[in-house]
Amino acid sequence: MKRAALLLLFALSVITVPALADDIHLLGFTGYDYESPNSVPGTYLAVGEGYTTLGFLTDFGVYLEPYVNIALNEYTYRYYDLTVVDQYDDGFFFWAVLSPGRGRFFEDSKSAGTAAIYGVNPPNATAPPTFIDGTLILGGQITNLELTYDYIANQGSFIGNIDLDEGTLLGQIPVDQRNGWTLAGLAGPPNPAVPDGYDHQISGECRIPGPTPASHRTWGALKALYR
Amino acid sequence: MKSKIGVAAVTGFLATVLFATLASAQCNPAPNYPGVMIKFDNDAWAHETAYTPATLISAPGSQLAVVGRVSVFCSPFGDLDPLDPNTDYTFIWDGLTSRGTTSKLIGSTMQYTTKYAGGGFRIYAGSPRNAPTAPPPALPAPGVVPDAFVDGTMILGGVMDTLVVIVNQLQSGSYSSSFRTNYSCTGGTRYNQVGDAVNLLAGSWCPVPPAPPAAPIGTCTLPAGWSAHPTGRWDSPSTVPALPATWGKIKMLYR
Repeated sequence: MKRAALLLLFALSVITVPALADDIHLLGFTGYDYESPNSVPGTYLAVGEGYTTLGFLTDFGVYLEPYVNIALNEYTYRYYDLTVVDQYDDGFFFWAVLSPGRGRFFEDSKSAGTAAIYGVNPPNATAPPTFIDGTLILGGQITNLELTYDYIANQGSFIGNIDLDEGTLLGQIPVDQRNGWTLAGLAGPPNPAVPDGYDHQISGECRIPGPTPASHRTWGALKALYR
Repeated sequence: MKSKIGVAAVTGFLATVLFATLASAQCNPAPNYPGVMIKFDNDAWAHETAYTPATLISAPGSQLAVVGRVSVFCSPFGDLDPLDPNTDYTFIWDGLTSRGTTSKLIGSTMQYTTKYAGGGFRIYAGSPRNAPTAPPPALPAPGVVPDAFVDGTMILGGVMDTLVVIVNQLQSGSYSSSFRTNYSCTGGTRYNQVGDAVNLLAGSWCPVPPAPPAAPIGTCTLPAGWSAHPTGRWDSPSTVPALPATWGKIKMLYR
């Protein structure tokens, strides 16, 4: 009986209590964006128009780094099926909120796969097809995406949630860290790097909640939580 | 004359082939467009002398500096490996003096704009890999910041136009931010590969939370002393200077 009580006491002494943790870097990317469908030519991201960005993954955080090989493979991304549901545009500043879409990340063999090529005036024969071939390593639903652009400074940004739910590397990310967020900076014209038909250059990253650290608590501290 | 034209044509062809071969597969610019030259991601951070996170305000005269590690090299530096276990490719931006932050409500968005003038940048190849990775140490960090980011050989250095940082506080409570400037190179051991042509240095800017421990989406929690986490890229100059080559050197490439 005494032993059972001691065991119970020991078990309670190591009960873990969640604590807040900082977010961590999942991956970095760079590419370009464009309107698709561009149903109202001449109006940037009119309500009902679609938003797509695609390009290359440039960096991987601790969860993915052991499972990628940039010497052997090419890594690409695409955010798509995002539709403008509301927007503000006064000629100086632009803001839009987009309906849920998807973000997907791919791995394609350099030797056996097809190199990703932007081309011009997307969608075209190579973009998105050469950016979405190979193995789907990670993907998720993008929600609450908001995009801003300052026409005076020629720069903007987007921010949104990304809830990871697919891909061969999904299992490498702990379940409680799969609801993250994504952000990017947008650099528009004058910008000689932006191919014809694309709107802006993109530099961004995905971040996810940090691991939840365990902390040791005494029985007394636990009881105090309920008082 | 014909032979000179021939040599020029072959040189141009070889340059194209070489750049395409050496450049990382994470680069691939669209043909005839300058693409990313250097990318930095998770390991880059900003700090400044008179910035108030709670208000997102940089006081006039505040000195901004950014330190970080390179994550990708593209053309014309595709021969450099940022993951080389013996070499630390790091950078610093400094000399950036704030002109103060202006804020205005546009629609439902509160926009904070800060301009920094007089900046320069330097990129180093040092050994060993001693610069910290995320999370960075709290500041001040004597002997580490900026020391570990500015040791080794300066491979590229230059000047920046006015750096514009825009932080948008959205109605949803999220933050959406960016930075942009033009740069041109002035020196470094790799200067002859890029010359002094002007191009873009731009990306995202993730400020520290205004009211920690709450960390709204679009803010990055960092140790004490840091003000933001930038992610971005130097683009290749639109015109890359031709490298002098002899017929013998060209033939050597085929042997």
